[in-house]
Parts: sequence; C-alpha cells; structure tokens
Amino acid sequence: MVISNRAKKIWKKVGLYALVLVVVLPILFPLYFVFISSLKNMSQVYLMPPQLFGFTPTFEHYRYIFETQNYGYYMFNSAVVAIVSTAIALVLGVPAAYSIARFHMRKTSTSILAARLLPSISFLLPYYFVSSKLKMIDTYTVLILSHVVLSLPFVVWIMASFIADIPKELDEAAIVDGCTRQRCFLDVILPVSLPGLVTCTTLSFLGSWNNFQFALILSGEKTKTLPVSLQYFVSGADIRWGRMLAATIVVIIPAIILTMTLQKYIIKGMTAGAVKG
Amino acid sequence: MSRLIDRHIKWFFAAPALVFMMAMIVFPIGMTFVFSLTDWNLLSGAKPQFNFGQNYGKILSSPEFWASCKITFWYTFLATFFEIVFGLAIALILNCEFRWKKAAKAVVLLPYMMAPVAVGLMWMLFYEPSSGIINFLFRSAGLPQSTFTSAQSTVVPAIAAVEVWQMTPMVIIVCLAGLSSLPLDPVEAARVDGANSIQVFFKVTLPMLMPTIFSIGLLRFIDIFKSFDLIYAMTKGGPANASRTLNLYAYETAFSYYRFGDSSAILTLVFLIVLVISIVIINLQKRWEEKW
Repeated sequence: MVISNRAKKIWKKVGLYALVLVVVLPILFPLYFVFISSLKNMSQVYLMPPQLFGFTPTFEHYRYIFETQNYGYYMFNSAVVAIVSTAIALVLGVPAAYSIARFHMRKTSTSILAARLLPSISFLLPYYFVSSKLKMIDTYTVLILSHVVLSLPFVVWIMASFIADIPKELDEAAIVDGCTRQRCFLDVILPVSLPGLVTCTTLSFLGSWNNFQFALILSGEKTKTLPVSLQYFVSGADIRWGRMLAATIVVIIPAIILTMTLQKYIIKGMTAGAVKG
Repeated sequence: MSRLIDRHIKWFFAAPALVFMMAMIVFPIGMTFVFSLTDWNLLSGAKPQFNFGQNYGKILSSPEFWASCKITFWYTFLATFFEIVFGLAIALILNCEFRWKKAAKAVVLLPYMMAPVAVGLMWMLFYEPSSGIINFLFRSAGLPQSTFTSAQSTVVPAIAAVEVWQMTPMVIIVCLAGLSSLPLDPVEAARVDGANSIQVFFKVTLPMLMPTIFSIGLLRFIDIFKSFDLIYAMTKGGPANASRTLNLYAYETAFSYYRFGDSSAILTLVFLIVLVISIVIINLQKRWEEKW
C-alpha cells in the first residue's frame, strides 16, 4: 500500500512535468526555430525536414541588415522614442497616480481606465492631420508624444494601485514632521515605490519599442522605428526570410532580455493593470 | 502662490497628466467626430464640406462594412475564447509546485512582451503553405495540409491562433494572481467531503475564480477587438479582404483611398462600440470592488 502510494506520487510528478513541457515547448521551439533560421542561408531555410542543429551558421543576414539596411539607425530611433516617451510618461503619470491613490479621485481614475480601453486608432487621423499641418510628420516630437499617450494610462494605473498599497502613515508622519506634500511625495513615496517604477518603466519602454501603428503613420525615413522597418522585407509574395528573421530577432531581443531578468516586476504590473481598481 | 498650491494639492499632482490626456485624447476624438461629418477626400482635393451624416448612411448600408464587422467579431470571439481556455488551463498547471517554476513563468511571458509585428512575420514563416514547418508537421502526422493565411476560409482562424499564442500570457498571469488570492478553506472542506480534484475544480475553484475570468475576458475582448499590428503584418486584411477587421478597414479607407471623412465615420463607430463595452467593464469592476 505504501509503495503504491509512492508510485502514485512519482507518476503525479512525472505527469506535472510533462504538462509543463507541453506548455513551454510551443513557446520555446518557435523562438529557437526562428533564431536558427536567421543563421541559415536562403536555401537551407526552406529545407524540410528542417536541420535543427549541426549546420554551419552564417551571420551574413545580420551583417546585411546593419550594413546596407541602416538597421543601427532604426534601432537608435526606436531607443530614443522609447526612452524619452517613457520618461515623459513617468514624470506626468506618477504624481497623478499619487493623487489618485491618496485623495481617492474616483472619477479621474475611471477616466484614465477609459483612456486605456479606447481604440488608439481613433486619435490617429487627427494626429496625422495636425502634424502634417504643422509639418511635423517624421519628427521625433510627434512620435514621442503619441507614444506617451499609450504609456501614460498604464503608468497611472499601475502606480496608483502600487501607491495605494503603501501605508498612509508614512505620508502622515512626514507631514507631521513639517514636510509639504510635494516633499513627502519626492522624499518618502518615490523611494519606496521603486519596484513599481521599475515595472512601469519596463512595460512602457517595451510598449513603445514594440509599437507599430503610430510609427507606421507618423514616422518617415528620418524617424523610422524597428517594427516599421520590418515591413520592408516583405514585398508582395516574395519574402527574404533570412534577412527578415535576423531583423525580427533584433526587434525581440530586448523584450527577451527584459522578461528574463525582470519577470517579477512585469508580472506585478500586468496584474495591477488588469484586476485591481 | 504656495497657499494656492496647498489648497488644490491633489490637482497640482494630477493636472499635468489630465491636461495632456485632454489635449491628446479627448480633443482628437472630437476632431475625428467632426471629420466624420464631412466629405473630406484627399484625392479630390476639394475643400471639405459638411454633409451631415451622409457618411454614416453610406457606411451603414455598405456590405463591406458589415462584412468587416462580422470578421472583427468572429476574430475577437475566437481569440478571446481560446485565450481564456488555454490561459486558465496553463494557470492551473503553473499554480502547482515544481522546480524551475520561475523560469517556466518567465518563458510563458515571452510571447506577450514581443512586438506583434515581429510575432506575425515569424508565424508567416511557419505558415508557409509548401515549405513551412507546420504543414511539414501535419504531413508527417498524416494530417491534411492547410492553406493558413493564403486562403479566405482559413485566414481568420490562422491569425487568431497567433493572437492566442502571443496574448494568452496576460490571461495566465491574471488567473494565477486570482488563484493565489482564493481562500483555501472551501477547497479543503470539499476535499474532506470526499470530492476528487475534478469536482473540486468545477464546483469550488472555478465559481470562485469567475469574477477574475470575467473581467480579464472582457479586457481581452476589447484589446483583441482593437488589434491592428498582427493582422496588418500578416495579411494586410487579405486575401480578398477576408481578414479585414474594422480597424484595418478604417485604416485602408484613410491611407489607401484617402477618404478621410468616411474613415472618420468608421472610426467613430468603432469608438462607440468599444465605448459601450468599456462602460460595461468599468461598471462591473466597480460593482465587484464594492463587494469587497
């Protein structure tokens, strides 16, 4: 009886690991497949059954996209837009989040949530219209501002739920000690909400880095970002797979690195943004 | 000055963000609505004239709009449904204790954090009808070949599958958070009463998790409804408009045909649909909060 119980336990364990494998493989295998395909030459990519290892890797596609397709420059554009728009969203959003959390601004928080739910394409035509009137299509300014529109609701939403979890006594003690609200926010609240700030920064950076729709319309040759440049490897039915996959890898690498290192923070942000009010 | 700030301290903190949102969201939505009442066409070059609602009449009576509507709802329904089912199932698996749980969670998150355009193009390689890996696997397993994104009949499910592959992590994470906040007593009580795992799940855990599932489901519904990047990257709405959702329809009307007036009318309709669903979500969330 004892033995069969143990056997049962072992089988349960084996079953659980098998299930985890069933979950993890459909994610890892495609990524691995794309990665090795980006290291193959044109004819090898189409070879079925695919060679999963043991082929001679070539870095020709990576060299091609950086040397002749200006990929370094698009990467720079993406980074500038993502970093600056994240910074602006934090500067505008974190104080607002503090206010919402501490003064129970229900209506404000509801309207912020509404902004997160609205379809961003319904602001796109006016952006295009106004910025072409002002001759600002293909400038960083327009692109950055449009990305702040996407990040700001997220920042406010995540930070408000984060700050609400910080005990109020902290503020009260500081105010009794003669701090103004502004000082209290800067010196007391900001340092303790560092984990929340990491969460917001990561999600807002990646949101901008990955954004396609706004950049498609508002950027041009000077400010083209990585996701938009990906499109140019697809011309009709002919897709230059090797090059495109190398470009894809370059786009997704930051996401992979940030996810693997900051998963704890990302998970916190996703749950704050989705369930709690 | 400082007294003024003190008295309105909460607005002092919130005003910059609110002013920005007003200027960048509320105002543009108003502009889109005004545009939608004009016959603005970039190609004709004529000065836009108000034609009060004619655009709406034209769009609401065009079969293209309704076809697009149908595709959008079908796509959204398919993707939401499978995201919830897979998300819940995977959350239950990851809720168990095992080694490398952290690593497994990070891996599960990966697709969600990647650019939808990149994910879409990646899957176009797998979906390649003659030399793609998926058809190769189907062939090896003796299954019939699929046309995936290259035929009208299969394109919507094919893209929806990629949407599910990429966005299920959101559901998993939220369900995991929901599961960890559930009280343990009811589960233990049911176990003591002799219920097996399956009974415990359907009779105890699932009902308690329902509010979480419901709110994440609605949230996903809205996000998928608005989805643009993935579909644009994979098919641009083709073949023969079979995957042209409302978003793509509005985009095409504006930036391929330059009918800005018509496009604004479609966008206003999309906005209204999303607004109605959003109001439902917000009210449900409020009610749910009050319960606590």
